[in-house]
Amino acid sequence: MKCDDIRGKIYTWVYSDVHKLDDEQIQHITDCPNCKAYYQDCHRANRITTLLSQKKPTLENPQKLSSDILDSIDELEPKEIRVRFRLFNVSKRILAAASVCLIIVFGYEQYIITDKMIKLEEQMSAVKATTVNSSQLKEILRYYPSHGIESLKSTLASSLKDSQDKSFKSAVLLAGYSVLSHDDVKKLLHEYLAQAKSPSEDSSVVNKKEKE
Amino acid sequence: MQQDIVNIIEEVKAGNKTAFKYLVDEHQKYAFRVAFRVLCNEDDAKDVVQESFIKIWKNINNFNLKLKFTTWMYKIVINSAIDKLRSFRRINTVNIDMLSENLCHLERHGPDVQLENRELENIISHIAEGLPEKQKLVFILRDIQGLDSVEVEHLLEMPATSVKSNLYTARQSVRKRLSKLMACERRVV
Repeated sequence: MKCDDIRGKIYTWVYSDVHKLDDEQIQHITDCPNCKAYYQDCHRANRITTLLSQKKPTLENPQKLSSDILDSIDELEPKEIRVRFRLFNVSKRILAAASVCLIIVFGYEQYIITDKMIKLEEQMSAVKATTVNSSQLKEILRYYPSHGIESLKSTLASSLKDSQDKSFKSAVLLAGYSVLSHDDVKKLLHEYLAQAKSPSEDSSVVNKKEKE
Repeated sequence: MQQDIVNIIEEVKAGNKTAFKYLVDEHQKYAFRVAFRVLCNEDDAKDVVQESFIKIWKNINNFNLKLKFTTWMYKIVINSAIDKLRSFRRINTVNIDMLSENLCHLERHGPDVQLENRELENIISHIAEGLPEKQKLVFILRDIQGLDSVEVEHLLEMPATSVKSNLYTARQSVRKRLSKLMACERRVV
C-alpha cells in the first residue's frame, strides 16, 4: 500500500465525516511513522480550525462604533443635499431652455398669424365696399389662417349665392381677425346672411355688381 | 420577530435614523465577527463594519423585504472584508511563544474557553498569513467562517474545482505550519 494513497484517504477522512478508513488502512497508519505523523497533524489542524470557527471575537465598546456609524451617515447628508441641489439647478436650466423654445415656437406662429392678418387686411381694404371678384377672393383666402381655409371655402361656396357682398366681406374680415373655428365662421356668416334678405343675381359667380 | 425587522427596515427606507440606529445596535456584533475572521485585525474589522453599514444605509431601498436581512448584510460585510483584504498586504507579526500558549489553551479547553481578540488574531494570522490570496480566502471562508463550498464559489466567483484545489493546498500549508509550531514547542519542552 502506497503512503500517498493513504494520505489522500486520511485527508478525506479528517475533513469530511462521510469517508471511513478500513482495517488495512488503519493498520498502515499504525505501522508507518510518517503516515501516523501526517494523520496526527491533519487531525490537529482540523481541530484547531474547528475550534477557531466556534470562537466569537468580542466587539469592545459597541456604542462607540454605533455612534461612529451614525456620524458617518450624518456627514453623508450634506453631500446628498448638494447633489439634490445641483440636480435642481440642472432641472431649472432645462425648464428655462424649454420655456425659451416654447416662446420661440409660439412666438413665430403668432408672428405668422399676425403677418397673415395684416396682409388679409390689406387685401380686404383693396376690395370695394360692396364688391369682390374671384381673384380678390383668392388673395383673401391666401392669407386666411391655414387651419380654416378649406372649411371656410366650402362654407362660403354654399352660402355665397344668398349673400350680399357687404355681408360676405364683413364675415371674412371678422373671421380672419378672430381666427375663429369653422363653426364660428359659419355661425357668423349665417348671422350676416340673415340680415341680407335680398337674393344674389348670380349664384355661381363671385363677382357681383353693386345693387342700386 | 421577522415582522418587527420588516417594520424597522420600512422605517429605515423612509429615512428614519432612530430605526437605523436600532438596526446597527442589533447587528453590529455579528458583522464585526464576520469581518474579524477574514481580516484578523480588530481595527480593520471595525472599519469594515462601518463601511458596510454606510452601504446598507445607502442601498436599503434595494433590499427586498422577502429576503432575510442578516443574509443580505452578511454578503455586504463579507464582500467589504474581502475587498479590504485584497487592498493591502499586511504582515502581522506573531509572537510564537504567545501563539503556542494560545493554541494549547484553545486545544485543552475546547470551544467554551473565551479567547481575547488578540489571541484569536494571533492564531488565525499565523495559520493563514503567507498563504496566497485565493487560498487564504477559501480557507477562511470555508474553515473559519464555516461556509459551505457552494457559498464560497458564489462569493469568490470561483469554479468548484478551483475552490476544492485551493482549499486542499491551504489546508496542507496550515497543517505544516501547525506541525512545525508543535515540533518547536516539543523541542522547547
